[in-house]
Amino acid sequence: MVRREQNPLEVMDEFLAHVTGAAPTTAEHEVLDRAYTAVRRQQEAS
Amino acid sequence: MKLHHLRLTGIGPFAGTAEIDLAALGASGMFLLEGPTGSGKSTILDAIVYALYGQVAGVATSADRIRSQFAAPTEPSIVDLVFEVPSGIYRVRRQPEFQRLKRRGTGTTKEQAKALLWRIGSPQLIAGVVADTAGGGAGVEVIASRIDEVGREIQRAVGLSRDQFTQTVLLPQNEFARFLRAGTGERQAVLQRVFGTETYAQVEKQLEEMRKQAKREVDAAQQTLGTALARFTEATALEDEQVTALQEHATALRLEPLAVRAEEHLAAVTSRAEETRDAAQKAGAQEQAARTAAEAATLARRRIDRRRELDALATRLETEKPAAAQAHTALQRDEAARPVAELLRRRDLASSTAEETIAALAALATETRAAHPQLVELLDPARDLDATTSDADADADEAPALFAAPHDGADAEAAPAAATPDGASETLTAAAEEATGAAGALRELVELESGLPAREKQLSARREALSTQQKQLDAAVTQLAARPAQRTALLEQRDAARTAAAGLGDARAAHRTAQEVQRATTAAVAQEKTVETARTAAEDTLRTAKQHAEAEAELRRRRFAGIAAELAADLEDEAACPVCGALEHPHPADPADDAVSPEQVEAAETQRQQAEQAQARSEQAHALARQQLQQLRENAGDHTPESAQVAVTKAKQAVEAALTAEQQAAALEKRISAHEEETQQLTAAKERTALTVERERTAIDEAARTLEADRAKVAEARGDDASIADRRRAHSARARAATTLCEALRRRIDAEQRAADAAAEADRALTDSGFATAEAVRAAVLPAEERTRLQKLAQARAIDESRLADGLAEDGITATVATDESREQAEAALAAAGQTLTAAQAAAREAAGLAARTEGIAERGRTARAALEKASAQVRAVSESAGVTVRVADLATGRSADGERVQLSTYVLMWRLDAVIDAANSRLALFSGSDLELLRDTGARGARKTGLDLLVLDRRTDQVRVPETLSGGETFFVSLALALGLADIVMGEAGECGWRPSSSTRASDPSTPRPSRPWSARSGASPRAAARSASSATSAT
Repeated sequence: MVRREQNPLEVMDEFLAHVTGAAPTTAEHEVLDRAYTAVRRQQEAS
Repeated sequence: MKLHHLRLTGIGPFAGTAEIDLAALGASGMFLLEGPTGSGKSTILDAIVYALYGQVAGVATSADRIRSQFAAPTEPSIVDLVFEVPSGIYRVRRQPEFQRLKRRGTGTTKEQAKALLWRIGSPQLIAGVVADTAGGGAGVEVIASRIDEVGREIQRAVGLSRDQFTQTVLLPQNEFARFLRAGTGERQAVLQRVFGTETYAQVEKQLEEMRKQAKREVDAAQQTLGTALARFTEATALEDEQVTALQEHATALRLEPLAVRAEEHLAAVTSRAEETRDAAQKAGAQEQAARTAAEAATLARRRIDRRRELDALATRLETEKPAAAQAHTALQRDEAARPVAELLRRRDLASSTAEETIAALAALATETRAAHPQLVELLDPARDLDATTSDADADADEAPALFAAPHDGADAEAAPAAATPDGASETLTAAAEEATGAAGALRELVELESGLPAREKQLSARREALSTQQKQLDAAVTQLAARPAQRTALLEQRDAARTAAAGLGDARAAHRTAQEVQRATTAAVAQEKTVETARTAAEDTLRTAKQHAEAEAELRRRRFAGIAAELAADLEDEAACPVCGALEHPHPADPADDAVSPEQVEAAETQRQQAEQAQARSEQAHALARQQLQQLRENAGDHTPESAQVAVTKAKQAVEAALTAEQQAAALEKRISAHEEETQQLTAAKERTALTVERERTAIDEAARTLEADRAKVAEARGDDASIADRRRAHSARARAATTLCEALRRRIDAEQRAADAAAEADRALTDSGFATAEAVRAAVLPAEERTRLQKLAQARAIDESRLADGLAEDGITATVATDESREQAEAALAAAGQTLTAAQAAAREAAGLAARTEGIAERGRTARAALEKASAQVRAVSESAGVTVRVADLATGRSADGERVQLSTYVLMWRLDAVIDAANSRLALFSGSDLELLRDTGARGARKTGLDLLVLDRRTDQVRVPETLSGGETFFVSLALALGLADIVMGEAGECGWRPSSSTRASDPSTPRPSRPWSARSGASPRAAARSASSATSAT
């Protein structure tokens, strides 16, 4: 169950685990982290 | 959230004030807003949103519409809402901006928007707060009074922004069915907006961008690898087959085989470079040996040429030897003759100068003789001053002589001294000094003489000034003589004034007495009236007292007359009569009609006593007034007010006269002091003037005597001349003439002496030089050009001789055989060595070039190999990183074939949509009697856009239906249930808000609602009935 208060990065890790059936690797997590960080910067800038 | 009360004033169609008791309506759990179009249903919802957020519900709707068009232009529009959330009970009141009519004049002025927010301490206070339109009160706290503060506080309390509120709690009209029938994409957009999950969609986009960027980076790295490989193959000059093999490895990203093959090619190139380098070194050694042999052959031929050159130089020097000796002799004679010739030239020049000074002295004597013959006579008169000396060339030994004979001129005293040139010079010098001294002695007398007229004029002026001062002195004496009489007169005036002022005290006392008498007379007149008034008052009070006494007596009389009846009234049976003691009272007296009671008597007595007291006070006042009048008359004496006024006037005049005399005495005292001070100043001035006059008279006499003595001195010094100045100028001219003659004489003497000295020195030099005559000397001196020519010839010969000696001293020159045959042999050897060297140099250059080229290929190959390694490493790193990025991006965007094809944003919303469906089904079960149930379609109605589609399970047929197949009523039930379920989930996430209104304006009743009454609540209706009602009426909570 995805909860509202859940950390989006945590949600995305769970998503990867859901679609692949395995926990995300460190490299995959870092990719998600970079993408989420970029989005947050865009949101803060706007 | 629970809404308690809403009050609208001048809002929308509500021109006046309308109140809605929302708490009462909500008590039944559900209510409808019903009314025709334009009756204000949406306005109520707008007003609630406006109260909470300062804006109306619709995004595109301006907040300006909140103000009623029917509101009075002088009155503000107000929305007043009381609501409750978990954090407390609040009252918010907002007033939108509007143009208010000016209170004075015409036109309007902008009334700014306002907002106030209170926190209500307890639910029991709500009723009182609502009743109090002004707000405030006990237990009610203002927590924000600025618009921005109110906005922040409400959003913090409600937990929803305006957008969230209007998108969930207040779902826009006609959006239910659209949401139900929407596809995954459209529904996803709505859900994202509602649940604020746009971030995940943005992350998907970002991952897509990162995937593209990673692809670009991989492409760029591969391109870099290709470029590096091309440079490597070009640098190492590989064969086409080798290049093709390497390119195939690179294209297939087989980086390890690529690296191995490249290293092998580089090693081959490096080995080739080393071989060519060794060959180049050997060729270089052979070139060096050939160069050494060629240099030796060149040196041998150069020595032969050098020896041949030196031999030719020696032959030329021997030929030129006689001419060189002759030139040497001429230069030696020139060297000896030139100093002597210079002395001869100087002798001739000195002789010529002496002759010029003799002629100048003669001319000066002739010029001076007319004015100063005595001075000219001091020169030698026996010689002709115009005579010249003998020719120097003819007789160089004889110097000019002007003073050979003794002087016998007219000046007997100067004659002995002038017998010689020096004596004449001294005599002239003495004459000049004597004349200068005489002129100097007259310098002061000249000034004395020129100052005499001014002194005479000044003396005359002083005498006139003295006469004026004497007159002033006489006037001062006369003025001082009159001063004592003036002072006596002033003293007498002062004494008289003092006498007059001495009576000031008495005059003031008399004045005060007169004033008192005058006041007494005036007061007596007034007091007489007071006495008369007091007397009248006393008589009146006396009459009144008498009247009250008579009235009291009458009442007492009448009471006594009726006392029997009064006593009879108190008689009782079997009680003793207080008069007769009888126990029976057969005929008690009847009371009269005018019977007086004891109270009446008592009241009359009180009045009588009060009148008597008033009469006594009046009498006392009358007596006091009379006494005061008597005293005033005694004080006035015999005076009437008129005579007292006359006496006061006279006394006042006497006081004023005494004051005037006192002021005059003071003024006169000051005048006397000033007079005495002035007298002292005049006396001092007269004495100073007298002293000045006496001193000036003595000075004038002395100046006159001095002037007379100076006149006599000037007359004596002037002699026969017109003036002393003329006499002094004559002395000065004589001194200048003597000095000029003396200087000319000294120049002549000096010139004659220098001519004699030069002649003697020239004679000595001629003798010492060995030349026979002066002509021989002049002949031996060479012209400058000839001397220079001979000197250059000598210098060139010396250089050649030195060069010959140095050449013969060179290494191997003396042993060198400089024959033509030996030179031919050396030339042939040199040519052979040159050919050998040329061949060796060509071979060395070729070997070195080959070595350089192969080394360059090897060096470039190493560089290109390093770049290739770097590019390979970059490709490896970028490919690894990009692989992860591409994989994650593909998974997040549903493109990956590895896992489930669902997007990240869809995945996030799927969970929430399931929750919404659960909440909606609980409503739908009620609305549809459990006939219908919402399902989430997990099938593939779309490719990647799956997971958010909706289906409806019809339990009546156990068939799954798509929303498009639902009837109108079914669609309404399902849509409403879905909307309510959505609101349940959203508000649950936002803080468990409980207010869930929605809106539809399909109104049918055109009648206008009555805003002043609470809205009717349809209590008791089942949710299904309510929903059915809402489908044809207005809106539901």
